[in-house]
Amino acid sequence: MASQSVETLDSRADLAASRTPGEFLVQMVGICKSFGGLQALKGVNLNVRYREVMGLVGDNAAGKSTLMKILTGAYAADTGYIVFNGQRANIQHPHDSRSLGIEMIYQELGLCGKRNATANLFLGRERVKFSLGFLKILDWSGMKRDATDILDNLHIRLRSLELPMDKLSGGQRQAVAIGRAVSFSPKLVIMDEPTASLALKEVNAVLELIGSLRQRGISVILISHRLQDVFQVADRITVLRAGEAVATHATRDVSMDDIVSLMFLGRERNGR
Amino acid sequence: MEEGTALQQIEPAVDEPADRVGRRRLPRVDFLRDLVLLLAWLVIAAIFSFLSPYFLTVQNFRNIGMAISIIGIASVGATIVLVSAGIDLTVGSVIGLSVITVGALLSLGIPVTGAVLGALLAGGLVGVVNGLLIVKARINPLIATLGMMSVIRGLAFVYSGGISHAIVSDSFSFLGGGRVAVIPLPIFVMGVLYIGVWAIMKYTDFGHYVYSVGDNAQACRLAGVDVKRLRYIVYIVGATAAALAGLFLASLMKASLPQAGTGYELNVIAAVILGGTSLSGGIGNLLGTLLGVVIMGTLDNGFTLLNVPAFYQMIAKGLVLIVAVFVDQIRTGGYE
Repeated sequence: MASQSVETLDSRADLAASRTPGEFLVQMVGICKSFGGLQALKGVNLNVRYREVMGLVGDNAAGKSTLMKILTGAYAADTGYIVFNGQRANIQHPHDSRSLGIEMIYQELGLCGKRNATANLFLGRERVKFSLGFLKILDWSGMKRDATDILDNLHIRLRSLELPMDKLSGGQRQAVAIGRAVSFSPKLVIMDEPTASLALKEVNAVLELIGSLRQRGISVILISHRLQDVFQVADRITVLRAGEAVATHATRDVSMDDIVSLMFLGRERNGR
Repeated sequence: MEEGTALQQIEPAVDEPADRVGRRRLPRVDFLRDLVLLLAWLVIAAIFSFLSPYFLTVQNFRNIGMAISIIGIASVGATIVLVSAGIDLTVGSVIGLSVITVGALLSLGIPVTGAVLGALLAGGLVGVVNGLLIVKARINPLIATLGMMSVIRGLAFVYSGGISHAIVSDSFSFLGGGRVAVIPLPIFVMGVLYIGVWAIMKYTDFGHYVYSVGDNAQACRLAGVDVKRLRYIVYIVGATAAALAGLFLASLMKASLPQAGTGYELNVIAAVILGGTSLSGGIGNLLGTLLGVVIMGTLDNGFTLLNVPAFYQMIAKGLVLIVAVFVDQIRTGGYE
């Protein structure tokens, strides 16, 4: 029984791959998640188009992080399903989402502060020059070359690839984190508050970088408390409130006041 | 496309003027620190040779070498543990365990090779238990190894009944008394270990992960690094290095006594920290540790030549450590 349904899924997957994919890169459908008695997500639908920056906004505990953790496989949904790139996706573990082409950039920056940009860009998938028994000799010069390419490609210029991350500015660290995500050739990049800890003058640069991902055909889900950032770069905005997706709007069709009312009242000011 | 994003125009949050952090001339912090330690040692050595006619002799330097080889060998493992943001207080007890184990195995008539391997295995086992307590039971490494330090020492006393035995074995005394060319074997082994492990830490995936996990274990986990496995290996290597140090101590003493190595963990950690390894992990290297070991050993030796009473030596060494860490705090921004 089980193997049969897998086969059906696979053949459907082949079909989907042979066709041009539909409108949406990501479709999360009817996602529910409870923690004990607390219902964190109550049947959330979220669609992200190809080459789109989707702003995901909501008050604290609205369910943004939980929803994203389900998409990356850190949590399993109680009910609901995910369609990714035209195929039903079975995401049980962060490895699964990564192999599908989903990269998450964490708020607390998953970077090693005392290590340099090259080490961080290649952490967990280092180039190996050769093996000596169970020890592997790493190819640092090769990695440094590739690191330069990765960063150049995104027009990120660090003062040096040798400086530890702690010595770089918040914006440059964020840029390296984005560079690391992009180097996995993802289809979707999820960013959790990428501009939260940045100096104001660096925010624009990071937003530009997010915009440039769209030009490369990468979709972005941008979680942010800073609505002005979301309005500057997002194509559409989805508002979560108390575990429900209360609205999705094209950014140009709504005002910041509309979004704020949706976040806190669950409806727009004019009662639309 | 020549134009980049605005990021390249952003001033990095570094205080140094731009020319000091240029593309080629980077702050090689490790290297600078090692240089400072080397200079400090030269100053100390110069002062002692001025104060004592016996200091600057080949024989005395061989004495220093022999005296530091035990601490030096154990410090190799401790450096790895500390860089990984762990700590291992069982070093002294494992030295004692190794001494008792090798003595017991030899007295049972087991050949030297077997006895040596048995003692190393006993050390490795302590590392496995440390790993279990820290990784599986998630006990703070300081507390886990503090407890194990007492447990292992107790076992050594229980097994030996608190009694010391002479180790009578010519081939075993070669370990402490033998030579490779003109170099005493303990110093030779210590040298080989430092060079080998230095290279491993610098060039291999293992070394890279020890530094990275010590820096940010969470980031490593997210990147798919097997942090738990690495922690096990680190504690096993640390305890095995201590056991190896214990073998040389047993061979030099020609005796198996349960209190051997008592308090060595403090000497070892002091030398490693003096050598520039950060207590919070992610920073440190073996050249620094070697210099730390040499400086501590030279102070011991010089004070003894000058007939400074042992109690004052303790005070002086403690102060040296505190000053060294204080200087480091100023450089790195402090504890709080």
